[in-house]
Amino acid sequence: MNSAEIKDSIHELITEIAEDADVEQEKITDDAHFIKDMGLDSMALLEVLATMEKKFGVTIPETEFPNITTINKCAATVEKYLAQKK
Amino acid sequence: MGLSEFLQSPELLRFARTARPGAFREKLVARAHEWFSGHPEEREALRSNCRTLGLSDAPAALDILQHHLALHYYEKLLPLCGTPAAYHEYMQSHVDAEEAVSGIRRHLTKDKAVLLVGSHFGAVELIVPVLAMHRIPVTPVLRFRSDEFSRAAHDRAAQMAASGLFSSVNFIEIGKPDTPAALAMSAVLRRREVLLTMVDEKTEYSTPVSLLGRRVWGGAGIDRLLKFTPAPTTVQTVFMVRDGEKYRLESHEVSADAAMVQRIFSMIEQMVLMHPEQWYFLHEEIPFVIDEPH
Repeated sequence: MNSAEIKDSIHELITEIAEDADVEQEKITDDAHFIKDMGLDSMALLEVLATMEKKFGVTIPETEFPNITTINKCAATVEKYLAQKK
Repeated sequence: MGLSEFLQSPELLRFARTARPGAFREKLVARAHEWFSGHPEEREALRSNCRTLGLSDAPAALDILQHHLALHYYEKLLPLCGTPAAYHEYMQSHVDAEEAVSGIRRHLTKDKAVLLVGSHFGAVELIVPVLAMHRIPVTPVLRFRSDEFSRAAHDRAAQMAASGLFSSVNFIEIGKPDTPAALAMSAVLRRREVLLTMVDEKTEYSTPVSLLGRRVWGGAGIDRLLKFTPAPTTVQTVFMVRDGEKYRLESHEVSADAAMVQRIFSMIEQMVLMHPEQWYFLHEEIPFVIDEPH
């Protein structure tokens, strides 16, 4: 899976979670902050983390949790741990 | 001024710093009774909650309830009395936690996390220090009324850890803007440590459950926390039961299945029926789902 595919996949995931949380579609951008810009709460962030781990088959360590803030940062984090698996 | 603020007046806090626990308890209980006599509406609120939930609202029962509410604040402020060593000695001589601690430790040694679920019952304020005294790596989830209380709690925990008699305690503070509490809670479980959280306050993720014949909001999202946390976790209820001037930590394991939150509330119900005077939630606004009995 390349970078663009990872980002698309995470974008899709965030869109689903954001829809459940009634976040307006236009607020969902690659650099929008999940809490500050999109209004998601910490439980939604946990769902993002758990779903990414499951979907990409990676374990994201606690030190990376502060990066669960935007689609771009999530994609970079997933990419880093996918690369380590190889 | 509410009871909490009244009992945490600068004068009482100063007194706590120099008093022996027994003297502080006596003074604080007397002040609480003084506050209740000036606030008949509070007794009325207690009466109303008791009546709604089918608990005794006889004057003697309400007197005992008020007394236990005072004890709640005593337990909360107790660490201020004397040194960490004195507090440690008090806990050792007053709290029986051996069985519960052994149970928790057993799960930790099997590389499992432990999610302790508490409620507004009994001497809940003593649970964390007792576990820290037994070197259990516990992280409580809580909400401080103000930044001042938050700082004071952190300072106190640091002093207790510095004494070498208690392990260090980290807090997860909920309700702070930009604080990803759920991620922090999950991290504790992923580290295979102990997380203590209250489940009888209403949050966005609470679900309707039965309690004493009524529907209330419960769980505070622990089912979602477990669903999204890939760590083997044992769920246990914890109750610090007052027994005269002593305390007993009771812990019961709960299966983490779809009926978990209701099962936890059935255990809370059992404890409330056995010790209604110790359920200080009767002093609060109980989060009923609907007003009619189901």
